[in-house]
Amino acid sequence: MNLDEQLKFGLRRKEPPVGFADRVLAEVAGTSGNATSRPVRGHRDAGYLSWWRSVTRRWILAGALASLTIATVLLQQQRHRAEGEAAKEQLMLALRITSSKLNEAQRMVQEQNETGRH
Amino acid sequence: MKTVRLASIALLSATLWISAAFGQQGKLKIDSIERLSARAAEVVDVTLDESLLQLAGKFLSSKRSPDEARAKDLINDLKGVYVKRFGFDREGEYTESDLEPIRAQLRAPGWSRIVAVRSTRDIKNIEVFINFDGNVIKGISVVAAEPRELTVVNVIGPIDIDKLSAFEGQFGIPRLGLERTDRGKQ
Repeated sequence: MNLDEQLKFGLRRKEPPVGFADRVLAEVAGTSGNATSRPVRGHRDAGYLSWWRSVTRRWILAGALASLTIATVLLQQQRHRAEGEAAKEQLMLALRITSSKLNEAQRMVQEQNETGRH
Repeated sequence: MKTVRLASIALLSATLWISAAFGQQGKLKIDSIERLSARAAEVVDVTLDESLLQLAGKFLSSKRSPDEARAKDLINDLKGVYVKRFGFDREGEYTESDLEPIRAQLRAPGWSRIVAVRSTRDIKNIEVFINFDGNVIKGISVVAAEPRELTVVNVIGPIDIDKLSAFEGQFGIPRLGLERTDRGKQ
């Protein structure tokens, strides 16, 4: 998978879990119910805290997912690079060995030709 | 109808069998000498199929070194590079019979031995084989047998002889005088 595909996969649209919409509606209904009742400082603070916690929790979750995706992509890129470098080293080694054997063959042929002439 | 279906299956099976039997042109089965690694003090085993060659090619930089630039150019059309080299502490760790399965493949049609040189001084024997398809080179193999070292090289693919000749003095790949007309059958 290349980088584009990995990003598309990591950032693809996901359906919300079952009951998510109901829970959100219930939350909204609860908040509006509180709004109509007499504002009590403690209740209002608890509402804000709950809302803040909820939003923060989602942002933290989104951030964690994004970090995980980026980390996975980077790890795969690193692995791909390591494999490529290893393959390159293997190739250079193979070419050098082949080269040295061909050189030896040529040297031996030349030596035998020279010996034959003398 | 049933006969036609059976005939089709038989034809397909035969095609698959022939493909499996002959494999990639110019490719040798060199696994038979793998058992020597148990007796060897040093083992070099390079196995690069087409996909790994392509991957290696991506990491060869023309700017980094002239060697890499030449290698990048050389491997463009290659299908595989396989090298096995065994270094032994003592002499007599392998015999000719160990090499026989490889030599048998190199006696098959398509392969031509272009160099066979034996040095009595160094007790060294090097053979270079080329696999031809018409006038196109489909593979090169080298078998180098020394008392304490055994090397088998198998390079698969349409190797441009001019490109290979251009490596003289670079990787040390020598000009062997491999002209297309020098197809001396062994």
